[in-house]
Amino acid sequence: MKPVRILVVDDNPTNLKLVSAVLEFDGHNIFQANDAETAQQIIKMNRPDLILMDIALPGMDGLTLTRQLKADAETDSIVIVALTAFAMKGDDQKACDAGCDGYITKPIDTRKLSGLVAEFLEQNLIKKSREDAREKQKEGK
Amino acid sequence: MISPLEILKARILIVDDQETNVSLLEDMLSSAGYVSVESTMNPHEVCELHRKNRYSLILLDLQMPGMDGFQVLEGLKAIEAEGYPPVLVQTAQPNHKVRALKAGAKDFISKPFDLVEVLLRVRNMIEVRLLHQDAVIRTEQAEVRSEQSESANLAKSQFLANMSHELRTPLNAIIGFAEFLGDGKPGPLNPKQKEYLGDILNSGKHLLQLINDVLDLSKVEAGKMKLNLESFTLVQAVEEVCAVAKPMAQKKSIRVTVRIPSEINLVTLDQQKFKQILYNLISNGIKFTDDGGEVEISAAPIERDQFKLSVRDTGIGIQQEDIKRLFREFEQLEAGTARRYEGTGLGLALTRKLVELHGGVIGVESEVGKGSTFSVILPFTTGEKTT
Repeated sequence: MKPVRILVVDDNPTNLKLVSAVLEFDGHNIFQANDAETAQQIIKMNRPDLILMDIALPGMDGLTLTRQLKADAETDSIVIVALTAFAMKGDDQKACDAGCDGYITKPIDTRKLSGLVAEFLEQNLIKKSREDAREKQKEGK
Repeated sequence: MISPLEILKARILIVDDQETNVSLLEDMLSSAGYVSVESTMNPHEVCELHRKNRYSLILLDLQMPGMDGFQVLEGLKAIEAEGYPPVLVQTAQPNHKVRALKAGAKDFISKPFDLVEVLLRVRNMIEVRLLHQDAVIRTEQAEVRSEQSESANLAKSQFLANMSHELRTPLNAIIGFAEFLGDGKPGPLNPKQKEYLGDILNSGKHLLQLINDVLDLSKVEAGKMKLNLESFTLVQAVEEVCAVAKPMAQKKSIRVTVRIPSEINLVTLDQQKFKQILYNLISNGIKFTDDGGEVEISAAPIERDQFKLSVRDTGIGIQQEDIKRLFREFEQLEAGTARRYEGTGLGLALTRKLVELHGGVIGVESEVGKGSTFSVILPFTTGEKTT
């Protein structure tokens, strides 16, 4: 697939390194942040196409950041995928409610991660083109 | 049970405006061995005294000047709002008996007093009152205990949720890097390096399975495991599970066959948990069967609303005396074989719990050296239920 700009947010440096290495190997441009505040700065300067968002972060948590980004017209089109070790039931719903476009549980499958990322981006494109079409229809009327 | 000594030690209050009556009753009670008898001739102070002393019995005269027994009774009932007002009225008028009982008195003694009747009724009432108090205390204790165990359960599941997170985070790195390196992505590997990385990867995955099983078992035990019921085709679900188990079977050249009659079609169960049950049984069958053996999955309807699903293998079999230990936690059999077969020892315990959650049963027939057949009996349609 075409390389995309991905921001990985994780407070665990080893996991941050792993996810970045796997996606970098597949040719993507990777930005890293170990907390929500750093992530905000990076998003402003280098608008990523997709964010892999750890949920449990020191300070602001990943779901709060997701809600902020989805509420802001500047950033609401960035695809956000929750990446978390919270594998208990109901956590996927919480991520979805916060506005995440996808949900991946740890441990990640290094062989499938890139494929999942591509899938989430594609789903988002389809969703967007449908929305655009609807907009145009409305304007036409 | 209430001992006779406890009854004799019970606090009794006599309420009567006639001094002769008071002393007559006092004499009767002390002759019978009661040691804690008080009296008052002033009806106005009865409630105050009872509030302070909580008598086990109040012998209440109904006809008194100023405040009659019925008024005193109302006051006592207010004090014993949720309790048992221990009032025995004394009256000479037959029509007062029923009226007093209706007003909340628990029994009566007739005037003139009959010694035997008085003592029997006094004893019975004290016994009931003490038993009632006992029951109240026990109920309170039980409530406290159940609250405690509820909050302990809550703490346990919270702990498990945190544990799950803490354990998965480092495992994520162990499994991920082992896989990434083993695939040769950062650079080429020699065969030994590849093999050892494979070992790290397998051990990591095994540990993850163990964590998942422990979590699942605890969830069932904490009553937090819920069924997501849906209708699905049995054959299709079985085929899907077999596809997952196939690589494992191929490695040992074990033939896996499925025989499900067409009359069994749709079932309503928790599909994911059903697959977990089946996967556990099939992977067990493969694990404990030597190379070139056979694992067969079959199903048959039983009566109108149940079916039996069997997984037969041609493996090592199970000793008769070991069968009952089989479904318990951490009981992989054959400790003597130095755990030739990798496993958490939790699989069958969890499988049994999942089957029971569906209202089913699990059983096994086995012959050492010939093989084992694990069977689960499940309803075609499981009712909504949480354990």
